[in-house]
Amino acid sequence: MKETRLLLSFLITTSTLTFLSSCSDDKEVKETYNLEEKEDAFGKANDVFTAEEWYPGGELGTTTKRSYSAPAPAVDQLADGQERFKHGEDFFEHLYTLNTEPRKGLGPAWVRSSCIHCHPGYGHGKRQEQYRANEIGNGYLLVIYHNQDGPIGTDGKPAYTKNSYISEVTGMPQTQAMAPFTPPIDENQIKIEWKKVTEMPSGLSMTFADGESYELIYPEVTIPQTAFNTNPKPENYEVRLESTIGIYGTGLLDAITDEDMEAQWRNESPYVELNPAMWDKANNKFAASAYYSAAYNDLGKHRGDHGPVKRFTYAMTRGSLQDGAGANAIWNITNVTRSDRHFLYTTPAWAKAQSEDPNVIKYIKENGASEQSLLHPYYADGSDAQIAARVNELLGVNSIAKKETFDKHLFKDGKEEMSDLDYYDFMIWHRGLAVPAARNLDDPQVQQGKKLFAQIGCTRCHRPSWKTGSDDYWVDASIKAYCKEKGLDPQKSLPRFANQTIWPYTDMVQHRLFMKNDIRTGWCRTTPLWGRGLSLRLTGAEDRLHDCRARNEVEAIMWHGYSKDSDAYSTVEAFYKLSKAERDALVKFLRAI
Amino acid sequence: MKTIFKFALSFMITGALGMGFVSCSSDDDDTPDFNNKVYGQQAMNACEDVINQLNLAMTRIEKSNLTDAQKAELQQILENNVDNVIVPTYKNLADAAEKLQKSLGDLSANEITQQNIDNACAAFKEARAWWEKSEAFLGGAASDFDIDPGIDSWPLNRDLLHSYFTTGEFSEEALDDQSILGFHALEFVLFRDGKNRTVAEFQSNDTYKGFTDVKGAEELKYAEAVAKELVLSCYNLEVAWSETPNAERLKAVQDADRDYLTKKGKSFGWNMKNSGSTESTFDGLNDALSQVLNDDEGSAVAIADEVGSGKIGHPFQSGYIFYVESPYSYNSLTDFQNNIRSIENVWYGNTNGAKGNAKVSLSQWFAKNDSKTGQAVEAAISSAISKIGAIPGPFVKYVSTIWNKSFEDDEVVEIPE
Repeated sequence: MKETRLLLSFLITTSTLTFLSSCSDDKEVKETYNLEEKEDAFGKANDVFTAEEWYPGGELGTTTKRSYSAPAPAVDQLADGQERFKHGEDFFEHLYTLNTEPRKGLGPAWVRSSCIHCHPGYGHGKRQEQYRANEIGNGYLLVIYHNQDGPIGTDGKPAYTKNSYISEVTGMPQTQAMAPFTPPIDENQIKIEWKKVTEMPSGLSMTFADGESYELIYPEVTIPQTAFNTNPKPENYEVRLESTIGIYGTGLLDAITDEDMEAQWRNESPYVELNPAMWDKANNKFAASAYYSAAYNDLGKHRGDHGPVKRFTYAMTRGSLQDGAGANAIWNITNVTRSDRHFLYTTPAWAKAQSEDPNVIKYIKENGASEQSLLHPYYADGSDAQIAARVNELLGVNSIAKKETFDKHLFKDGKEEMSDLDYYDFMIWHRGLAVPAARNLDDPQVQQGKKLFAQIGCTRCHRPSWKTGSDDYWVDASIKAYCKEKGLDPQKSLPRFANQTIWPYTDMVQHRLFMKNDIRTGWCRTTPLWGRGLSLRLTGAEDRLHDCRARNEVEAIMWHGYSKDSDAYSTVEAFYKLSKAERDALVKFLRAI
Repeated sequence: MKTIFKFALSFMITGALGMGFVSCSSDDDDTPDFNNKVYGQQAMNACEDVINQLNLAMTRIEKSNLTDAQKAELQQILENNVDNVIVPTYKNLADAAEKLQKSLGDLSANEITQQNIDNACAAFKEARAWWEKSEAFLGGAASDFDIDPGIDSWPLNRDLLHSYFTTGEFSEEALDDQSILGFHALEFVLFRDGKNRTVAEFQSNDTYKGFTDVKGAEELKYAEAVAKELVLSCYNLEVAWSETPNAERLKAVQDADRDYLTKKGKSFGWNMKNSGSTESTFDGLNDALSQVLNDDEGSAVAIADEVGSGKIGHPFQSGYIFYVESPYSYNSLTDFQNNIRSIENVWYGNTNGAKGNAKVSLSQWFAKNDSKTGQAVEAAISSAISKIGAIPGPFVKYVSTIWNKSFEDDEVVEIPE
């Protein structure tokens, strides 16, 4: 979507002006002008907000439209950036197909058939009563992990450790598959129950002193073992839900330097316990495991002897945006491969189960003989045994180590499912998504809310502002290949956000809130608050927190105080003691930024 | 923003070329020039102009200190937009979809007549026209409840559809997958190469590449199921916007357990009329007007952009031929024009565009308060409809000729530098 910046000059008048003007056919027409220019508060400093705060994404990363989908001004710094952005946007907004251009390659199994399914209106996922992959707005990923250590093996180690993801299905589990395969999980057997909190373990009352009450609900998710179409089937597991959050502004978060993030973690270290997987407390620096690397790319050397620090996802699992949640998702959510991903997002346990399913073998035998068939790679010589072997082999092509098998059987006519050009445009769009400008910062209630937000300690974790670095981003192999082919400099071919003062309201640190049915491991990155106040307006919903358990700001805040062990407990206690007018002001501030 | 075109075209209208541009329908051209890039370029430029003029109009409203009378009239315009543009458009859409569904009924391939099929095809085009004329107001119910993808996802996921036919199980689950639902699934079954399919075709196997093992009778059965679903989606839109919905249609939506109210429990019509209320998603008059005029998504500007840079631009400017929508019915140019007519309807405050006679409208407001801006918007809309109509049709043939590529799923050939 575009933003046209028009410099308007207004005639100031209090009465109707009419004058004659000549138009192309030389007929005289009467023009009427009856508007008076208004003094605009937007972009101007006041007693509480700086002029900069109207632009949370900085000069290069903010759109003045109320929008989650607009291109940032940084996009305009690229030749044909707008055209590229619009084309890249298409891959996000529309559904993928099995084999029909322009968005093809879905399957053999998939989590969703499009990005928009999980990011309705480009925003946060919407709370669901049931898990359906085809329900647009369902932004949940199933998080299925072991609730205890596995049995000790001959090597003296447990088969799996507590909190680790089950290995029988993919980390982002799939509930859809193309015929004749059965999906790794039968979603009809997934049960989501919403339960009410009757009292807060922290002791905070569920009614404020002025009599206003709030209600907290949380999901309990169960998947019976019978729902798994895998061999073996998983054991000793629990399920949680993790919803998507907004994607705008992620290019700006990518541009925060590792050093600035480390300084923030160091500042917090004396006051709260930090995730040892990220923070080496003894040496007061990031742990080696805080830096991102992946077997299929060279990202691990981007900062010399290590990759960039992990910063994306609740669990802070990913570094560079070019191998971040979106760059990964366009491949693994859909199973649409590209030049640097000649492998599938699948598991051996699913491949084995499919190869043992007589219906699968029979269908491929009947429908896979033609070279035109999508099932032809699995057909082998047409015998039951060979079809079964090929199904097991190909559905199990799930790492870069098996690229040769992929190239031999699944790479048709030298054509990528997603071309380097398409992926390049997709990443221009992804990096280029702007943060919406702040609203109503001239409102005294919003100004009071900002003061309270700081006074009661919210800013300790929801750090208001950062300054980005030089944004010397890492570039993946697919974009490198495209740029090389076109004679472009990859370091100058994606939107860049160098030296921007931004206002995301996150410390980029993981904290623990100790909520009922908490997020896996309990560690959760502080969610950016920028733009969230537009959610209802832009997406029709405004559910909050990692599993959409909070239906409004007050519920989200009070969940932070569910337990006295929460990093945010004292702040929530202070919020609880505010008057109704003060609570309303704080909420209004949240809706304005 | 500046759009950079890769074609080195001269935008000067020469006497020779200019002759054809006044024609509103390429069907009138005796010898359409399928090789001439100027047609596509001018249509894109015209859409760009619509965007710029609408943005300017909204800026005038936002940056002005409006009198109470001016505000009151804008409020009336919002109310009129709901009552006399959005709701009637959705009602007409639902009526036409009903007509389509009734034409097919649940007739088997042996029972159906050519008249039934022809009626269904005519109703399809009528419904399609109203759908396209609704795309200037996709904000609200269509996007909040994700009704749009169920009605208008494209391209049709043909392999998935094919597997449903071959497994013999198009079930409720099949009807949950938007990539094989809506207009384009119906279009594939009802039309080929711009022509209505025949009874004989439904009584034998399909001849389409990859579908030769599929019985026409099965396709017909599928179309009937999709048509029912389409009707329900159209009811959903009408009911969601109506403050006093048609009882029968409301019941159908409720029985299907579909959402139709905002999170605050209001109709979308009420929501737009009551901007500024704590129960509305719009925080004031200007906010609601920007949703109507120039929001990034679901507004008049959004559809002008989609038509210019997407529907026309992707295939014409970038050579992605497979982005052509409605290729089976050859309805693309009509679709695009109807998209601009949806903007025209919003501007003139009725369902008959500039020919209508609405008592309150943006057109009238600007005529009174800033006639130059209003006239520029109206000239841009009129020009866009005309320039799109001047593109030689069918559009799929035009872009295929320009790029020397067929519509089949060919590899993208990049634009020569």
